[in-house]
Amino acid sequence: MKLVILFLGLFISIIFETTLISLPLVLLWLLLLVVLTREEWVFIVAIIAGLILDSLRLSTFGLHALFFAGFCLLVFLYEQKFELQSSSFVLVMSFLGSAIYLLIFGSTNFILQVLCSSFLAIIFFLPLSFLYKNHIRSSITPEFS
Amino acid sequence: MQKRQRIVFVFVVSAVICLLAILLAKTVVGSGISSAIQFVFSPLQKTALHTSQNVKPLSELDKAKQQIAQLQAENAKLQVIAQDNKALRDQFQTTNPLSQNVIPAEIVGMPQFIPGVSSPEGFIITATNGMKIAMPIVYKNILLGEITAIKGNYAKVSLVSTDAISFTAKTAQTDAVGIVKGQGNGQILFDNVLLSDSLKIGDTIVTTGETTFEGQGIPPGLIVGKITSIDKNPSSLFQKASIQMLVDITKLSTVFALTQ
Repeated sequence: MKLVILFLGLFISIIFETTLISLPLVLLWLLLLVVLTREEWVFIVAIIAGLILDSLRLSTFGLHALFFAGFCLLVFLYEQKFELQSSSFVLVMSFLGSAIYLLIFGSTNFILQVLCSSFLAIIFFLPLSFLYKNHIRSSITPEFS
Repeated sequence: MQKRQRIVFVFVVSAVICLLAILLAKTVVGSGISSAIQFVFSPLQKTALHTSQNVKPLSELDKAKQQIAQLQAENAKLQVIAQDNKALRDQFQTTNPLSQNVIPAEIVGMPQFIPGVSSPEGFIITATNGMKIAMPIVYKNILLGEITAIKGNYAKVSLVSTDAISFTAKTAQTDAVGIVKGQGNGQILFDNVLLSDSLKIGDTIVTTGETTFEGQGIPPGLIVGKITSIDKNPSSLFQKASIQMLVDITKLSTVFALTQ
């Protein structure tokens, strides 16, 4: 059920980003997928979402997929340093990710769009984090100690 | 360390797949995959766009504004016809009315920062055979923009208000010639107008025509918009004016590509 909500949100964000809103919604949902599930298959989802976005936005095929995969790696690499499932982490990563995304793929109101993206990321994250409350782990996992 | 190594390995595989996709982008395989994705998502995009356009029903004021815009467009067309008639009567110049072939195209996407509030920079339309890059896109006889990219079943249209587009135009009433330049954020400027030429607020800007020998490009007589403000400084070489489009692009669902 929790995964269904996440995938549904990702699907809707693909439709909205290519049709109605010029904010990086897919990037935000991928961030939430990484933060809440912390599974490696998110890379596959990122590639598929990126390829779909490239086809619908008429950008170079594979470019969005490459960016999303790199962003997911960045989030995973910070797993050992920060508590992933916290609002502050989501806020910082969404801010950084949106800023780099809009710099690469273009924007009309850069600062406003970055701020709105970060705000939306928190809006999406807070209710979903309650659903995933049982999966909260400590900030330092045994594998990295 | 195992999980970290696993993640890096998965990322490397993902990056290789993405780089392969980039290499295949211009091949038949890449185009085919793009077209298939566009074909699957096209109905969903159209539904989402049309639903958003119909969410807010037109008020009486909006309907009146639409009628005013329509009348202004027809008035501008009549002014151009009157000028052509005068020229033919005077026999100083001849005009070759071009028969325009149009290809209808549905708008499938029009992303905006804040839907309904901010201005879009462009939109995505369904592409059909015969469409080419730099082909003008119109609604009735109003120039909206031109095609800047075609991929599979979709074409990207940049509006005249984007800073990527500029072309020569003139005023319908006073025949002042200048260059239309997009400024972004829905702003259009009519620049490089000689100080000796007369500009009037409310006057309509029409294209002068920039076509190649084969007939491609922006044909003459298309309406760009109306003048809303004038910036005239006697110490400058040129004067300029701000232009407002006569159509609300966010309400459109079908546009037309001019083939010649």
